[in-house]
Amino acid sequence: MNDIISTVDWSRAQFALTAMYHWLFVPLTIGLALIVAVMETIYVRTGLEKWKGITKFWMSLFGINFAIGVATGIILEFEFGTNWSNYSWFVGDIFGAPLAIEGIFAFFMEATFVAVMFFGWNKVSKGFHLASTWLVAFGVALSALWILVANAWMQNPVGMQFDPSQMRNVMDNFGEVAFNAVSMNKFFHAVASGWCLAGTFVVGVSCWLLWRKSNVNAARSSLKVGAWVGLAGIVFTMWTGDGSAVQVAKVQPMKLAAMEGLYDGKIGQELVAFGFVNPDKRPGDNLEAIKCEFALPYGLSVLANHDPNTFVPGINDLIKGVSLTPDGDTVNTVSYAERITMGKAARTALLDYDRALKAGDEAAMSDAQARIAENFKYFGYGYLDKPEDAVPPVGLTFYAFHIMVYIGGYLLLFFIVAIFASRWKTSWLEKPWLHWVGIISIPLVWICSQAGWVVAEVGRQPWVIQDLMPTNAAISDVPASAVQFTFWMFAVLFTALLAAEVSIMLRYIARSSRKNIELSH
Amino acid sequence: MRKPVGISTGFPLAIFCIKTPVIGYFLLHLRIDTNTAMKTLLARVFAMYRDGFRNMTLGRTLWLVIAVKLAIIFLVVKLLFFPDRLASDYDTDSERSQAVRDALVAEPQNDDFNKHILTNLQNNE
Repeated sequence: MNDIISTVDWSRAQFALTAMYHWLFVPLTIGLALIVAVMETIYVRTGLEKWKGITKFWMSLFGINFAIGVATGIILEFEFGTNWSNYSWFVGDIFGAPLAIEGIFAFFMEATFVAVMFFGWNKVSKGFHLASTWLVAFGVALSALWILVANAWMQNPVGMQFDPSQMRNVMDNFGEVAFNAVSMNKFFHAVASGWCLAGTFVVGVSCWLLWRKSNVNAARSSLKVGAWVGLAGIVFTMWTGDGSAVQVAKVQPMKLAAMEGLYDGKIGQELVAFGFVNPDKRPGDNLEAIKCEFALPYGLSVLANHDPNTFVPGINDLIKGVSLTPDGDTVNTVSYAERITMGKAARTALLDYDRALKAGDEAAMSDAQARIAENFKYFGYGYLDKPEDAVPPVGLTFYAFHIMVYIGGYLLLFFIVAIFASRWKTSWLEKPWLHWVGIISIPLVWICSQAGWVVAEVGRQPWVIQDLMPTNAAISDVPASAVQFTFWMFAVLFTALLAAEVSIMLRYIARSSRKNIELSH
Repeated sequence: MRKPVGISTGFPLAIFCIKTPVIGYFLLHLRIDTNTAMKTLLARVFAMYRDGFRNMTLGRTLWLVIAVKLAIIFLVVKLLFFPDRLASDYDTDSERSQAVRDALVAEPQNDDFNKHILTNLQNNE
């Protein structure tokens, strides 16, 4: 048992490490592709040669990031097959279809048009080159779509039926899998956050050039584009984040409760603007959940339901299966104890199905299959010992959510100031404080981006597929030591790649700063 | 049970919808209407790649990083450390299904469930 727990923990740590390193590169690729396309559009529309030089400068940085980041995500697929074999079989073609589409796009679309982007200057017409650049920007976003569709299905499994003979979930509605509200919000939220991240990167690097008093005109022009794209990104990220919160309230209310450290909900629930999670707090006890709390009245009810007079359930309410109507009447939902009973019934039915299958008893198989279908909604709860096992790590989810929101709010202000400075108060562009704010914002936006994924992935624990499969049932029978070894191997590999990226980028930026960026074409 | 559709319809449809306008744009823009034009086009594409690779500066370093990384990922990581367990340990999908069913039914994660299985087995005996 200890070995199993250890294997689960090491496999989770390895997947988290791989995914988080992968996500360092991806949002910059998504956002920088758009910014380069915008800059090249300005070049084609105005005919000013300086924009060609500026476009090529940022395109080179895009190329560095693309080259270092490409294929880092493929390791996640290796991990599915080795460490998560129960899971990867159980999800069936639902995961396979989006990933296959992503592979086709990544290979054909990006590979083809990235080549035109880099090798096609003066070889193809301006219009065709511009179209290629836009298709790269479109292609990288589209690749992200299919990955996020797969991820969204794990958070909101829809559009399928479980087949116990195959032991797989069989997709019966592609449209529902691909285009449900959860997947669409997740897609636009992630892509817009990429625009925001790349906008911050462009503004930050431009601030560094301004601080060095090098390529001032190119830096000012770049800063303006980066700030506008970043502002559009952060506004769209906030809008889709609001949509995501509504969806989380519907399909993953336990995650929402953990994000807010909420144990006992009420009508007109406030939103914690500031506070510390009490690490000793457990479901059902009387300890204070949040210390030094400063809350916004009605905030969480508005966030979750767009209505200040609605009930938002806390962790205790969800476990007990209790909700309140706007009039204050108590409504019973399915308690977690009942869910565990139903999950065990589904598991028992699966055991009976297995025996009937081996005995060739079709009537018993049919009876067992009906019982599985009846209780399948809570199949995963059959692997939990007690209702409290369905509570995610509250502290980590709470802090990640609040860090994301704080930095997101800061970035909105940051882009407004950057636009104000570049358009109306150009004297600010000579101020060292603005330069340093820009430079310091670069690591902040990455922290914000990573915190978002921590909320999404830690907040849904213990589920690898919401309500259907907990992490401890998804794992393969592999020794913990093997996973531990590859964890450290990846830690070294990815750290080396990150060091290579940062080193090559810094050297390229420093070298370019000594030349005239506007004339380097 | 509803008929599963999955990759068989959704996948080609999605590819078709995206690829058709892209290829159409290519053809319209380059005005390809004869074999000669096609040969010229291929020659131009080849020349673009050839000149592009020849004139690379920063790109050489990046291709080196990509080559080393892909070699590590596919020749070391995948081959030595990450076998697809179900694909390598079992020959047929039926055996793989059975292996996953065994794992999900019998996994000793839960005392109550173990008691239930024991009771069930005793009753059957």
